[in-house]
Amino acid sequence: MRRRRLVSSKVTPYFFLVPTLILIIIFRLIPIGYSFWLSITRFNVIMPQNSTFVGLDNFARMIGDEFLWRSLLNTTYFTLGSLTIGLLLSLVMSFILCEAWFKFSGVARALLFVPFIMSIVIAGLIWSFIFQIDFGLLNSILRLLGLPQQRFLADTSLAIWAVIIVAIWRDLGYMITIWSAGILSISKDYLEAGRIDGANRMQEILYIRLPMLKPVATFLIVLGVINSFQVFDVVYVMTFGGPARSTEVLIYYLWNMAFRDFNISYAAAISWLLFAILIIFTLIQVKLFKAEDVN
Amino acid sequence: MLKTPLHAKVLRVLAIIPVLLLIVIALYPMFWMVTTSFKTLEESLIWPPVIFPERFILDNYIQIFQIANFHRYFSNSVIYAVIGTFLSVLFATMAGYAFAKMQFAGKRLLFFVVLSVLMIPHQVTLIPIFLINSWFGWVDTYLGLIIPGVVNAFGIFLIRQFAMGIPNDLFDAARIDGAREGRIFASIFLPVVIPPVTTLVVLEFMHRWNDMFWPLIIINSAERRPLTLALTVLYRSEWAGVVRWPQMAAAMTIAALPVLILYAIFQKYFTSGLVVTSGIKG
Repeated sequence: MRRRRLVSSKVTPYFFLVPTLILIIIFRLIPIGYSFWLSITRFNVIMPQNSTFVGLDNFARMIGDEFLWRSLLNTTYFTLGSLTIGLLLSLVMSFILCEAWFKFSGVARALLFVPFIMSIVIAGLIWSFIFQIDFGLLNSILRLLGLPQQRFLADTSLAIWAVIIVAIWRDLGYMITIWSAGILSISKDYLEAGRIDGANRMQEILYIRLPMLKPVATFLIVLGVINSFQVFDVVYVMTFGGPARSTEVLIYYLWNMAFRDFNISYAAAISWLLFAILIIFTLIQVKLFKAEDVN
Repeated sequence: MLKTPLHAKVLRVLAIIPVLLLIVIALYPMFWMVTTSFKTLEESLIWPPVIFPERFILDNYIQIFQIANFHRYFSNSVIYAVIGTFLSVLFATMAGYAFAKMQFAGKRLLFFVVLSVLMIPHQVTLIPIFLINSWFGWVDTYLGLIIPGVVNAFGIFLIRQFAMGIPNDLFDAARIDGAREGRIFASIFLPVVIPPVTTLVVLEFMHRWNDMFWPLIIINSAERRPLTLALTVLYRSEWAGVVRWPQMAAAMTIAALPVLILYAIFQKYFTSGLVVTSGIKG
């Protein structure tokens, strides 16, 4: 009897982990190895056993692939544009919302958060209408102001900005929530000490609050970069990567390569490029997770 | 109490204006969606744009349900979101319990592996995951839609984090009384972890309900498309000609409603869950 109990108590923890571990092995660990194998072969879609080893050919091919570089450039542009504007705007808004005199800041934050919970598909479709040439809201406003109409989604330099605007619109409330949590967690003692030393509001923000928000900024930037580099839905819905590839981001290119051209091996190699770009950010993210874990 | 000086008051008003403006921008698309869903096609396409329809008509809602398959799309979204969320939360809670409240060899290593592996961006393994699904014959099936996304680091982390704060005595006492782990899990652990479980349920549901990327890859046939994918396809089919926006808006309103209702009820869980992972004690 005693023996049985001992055995079962040694095995039961693993029983609780079995579903998770099986799923991780099948849908995470094996795919990692498989993806690596794919990237060094020429995968035969119809007869996988006839796939041939090609070494680093798939990676070498990237160097001369001007569309890949174009998509990387677009992704970087998108990431920088949406993150810089989004982070700064949300930071300023958070400082306003965290002022003691600001009544209803909770309600304001809750409302600003709504875009973040909506499906990006629905949001993208609505924004497509807003950006539309004939009846769209933006062109209506331009018309009212007597300015020329713009074909936002059909213009090679404007389309990416349309996508960036939607991304900012979506993430702003989330960023405000995170910034605010950071701002509100700053101990009043520091602000008190600053006031005693005669710091004015501007100095208080610049020298006391901003430095203390560094961990929050790190988190938002790391997460923002990881997510922005994987942007797909909004592009797929609003621009299909066009016009003339001007909004073709990395994942869109990868998806096209894998699921439309069935160039599986090359697409796998591209996904490792994505991994290489994101690895540093992912490691920082793991570190942040572990840091909180220690607390 | 000091009286607020006039220039401070002026500054405050100036500071409130951008906040209000942003709230209007944040909510405008939704406002447009709901009002347009009650408009006639003509009303949606005239200039200057009409803000409210002359008469709120329900025709668009009736018509989209007459379009073949709309109720199918809705049920598909329900199947994907509800079953996926249930399994995902159940497995995460079990794993969270094991990692927080049980002792076993290799615990730290396993936890590290789980977290690290799951932090690898999904897109990196997207293609092999799709190929594995095709070995299983899961392409274009509900299994393929639901199962691969069930495991998630965030959930395990969230549950474990919360459970670490529960005193061990509670569990040790039950163990001494001879209760089996399964029973301890169900009748002691589950009732205490309801807050993070609720957070997880709403976030996982939202994620699946809104997801289009995985369905786009794994689902081919129209009758298994969830709403998000169906909407995209519908938009694309009309894109070249005249998009019937009022009907689209009605479909989108129905598609947006479940998450909005959840948000209205569980707003705190949405935000707190997302803040917890940010490494800030809010």
